[in-house]
Amino acid sequence: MWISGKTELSAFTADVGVYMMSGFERLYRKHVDAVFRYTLRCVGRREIAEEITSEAFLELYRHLDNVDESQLPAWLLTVAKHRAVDYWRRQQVERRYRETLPADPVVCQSNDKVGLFDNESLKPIHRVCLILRYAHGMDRTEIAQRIGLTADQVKSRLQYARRLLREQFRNHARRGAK
Amino acid sequence: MKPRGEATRSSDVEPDEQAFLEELHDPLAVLRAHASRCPEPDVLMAACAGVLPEPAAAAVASHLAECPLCRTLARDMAGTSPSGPTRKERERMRAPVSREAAGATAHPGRARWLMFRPAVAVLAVLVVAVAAALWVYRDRQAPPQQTASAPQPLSRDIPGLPLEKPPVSLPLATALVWRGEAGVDRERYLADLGHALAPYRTDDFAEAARRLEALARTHPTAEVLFYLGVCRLFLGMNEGAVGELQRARRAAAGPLAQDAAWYLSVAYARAGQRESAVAELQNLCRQEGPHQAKACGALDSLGAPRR
Repeated sequence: MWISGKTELSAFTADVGVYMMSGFERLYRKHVDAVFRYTLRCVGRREIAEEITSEAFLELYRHLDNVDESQLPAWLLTVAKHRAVDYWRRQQVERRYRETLPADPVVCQSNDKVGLFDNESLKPIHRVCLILRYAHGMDRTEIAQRIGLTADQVKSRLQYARRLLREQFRNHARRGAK
Repeated sequence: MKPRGEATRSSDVEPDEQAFLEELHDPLAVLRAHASRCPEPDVLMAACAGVLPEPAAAAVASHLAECPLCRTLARDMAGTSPSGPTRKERERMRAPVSREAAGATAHPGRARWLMFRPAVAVLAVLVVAVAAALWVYRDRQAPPQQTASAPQPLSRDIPGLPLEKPPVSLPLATALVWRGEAGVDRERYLADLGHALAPYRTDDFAEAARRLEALARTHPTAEVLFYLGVCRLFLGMNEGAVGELQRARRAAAGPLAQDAAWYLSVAYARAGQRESAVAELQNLCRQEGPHQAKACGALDSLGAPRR
């Protein structure tokens, strides 16, 4: 293609832009959910996951010609993973984590800390809600975002789990009294 | 997230929850006291995803080996997936690309070097001709590297089969593998595994291999065999590494199976077993996973077909 003037040049670059965007748009729609979810699991905070996912897709856009579609979404996930490692490096987790430890840590020797939630009727999703809520003090929205439920769904799972645990606790107390 | 060790926020508490908190006050207080020594759930999940840098990853791994609460949480959360992006988040994440695309078209000044002045045109033709000649010459000299122009994060992994030390990410896998088995045996196994991997973390592969070898006699689990194979690779004992990694790949499931397959292909290549390396890489290149891109790139570097 010969380009003879400024107007034609603008039209040409615009065409290329539209062409690249249409291919990118399809890939973005196809993979954005998976990349965001993976990144959110890696960093735990939505705004950080948003930033990293956005950067991964910008990288993809810049290297669209060199990336084979068969390499997706693994290529995007690799970029996101590197960014997640950088994020945690900046957080200096080690220092923060050590600061939270007591001077004389007590090593847990048994399963009794989870024993409270040992109930065959509880599914893993109930246990996750219980631990995040009552061991780590998260609110329903924070729990919901981390496990892919709505806040109302978390609420109903917690209600069910609490009912079971209260029954279990009462039965246990009754047996102890006899 | 609020400071840990407190009860849940009062404004967030439902009526039946208030009764629950009062009735189970003591066991819940014990639970919160225990959890105050645990890493935050986000840090725990980052460690399980292999994105936590050392030495934080090692600290969390040691904690995980001793803490049934965190093991339960990590295991149960592995079966869930975080919520996807909202419509607004999707739009915001796409915005930088739209801005970059708009910048390329709305500011033709950026492409001003393309304006067809005769001298520039002649120079451009010369540059293209020289580049083409060099490209053809390189093609004759060496097998093609299709992914050579991939971005930085991948290009580090592309040339051949680099040997990179895998992080210790076994506690979650171990918790999953040993789910349902006797608690005492599991605790002892985790303690022995932590002891065996301590020198691995400091790159003392000889001592780590010795300890892992001893542990493999009583607990030939996928993790033990995998790290033993990797240690042997770093010690240059390639044939031995092939044997251990073959056993690890057979015993492993999920991500560890893929890790074992990748390092097995590295071991095959280093032991001069090219065909076996190619077969492993082709399997990895076909399936989605953390090693897919590297495996496809390695096949290109070896001049072998991807399928």
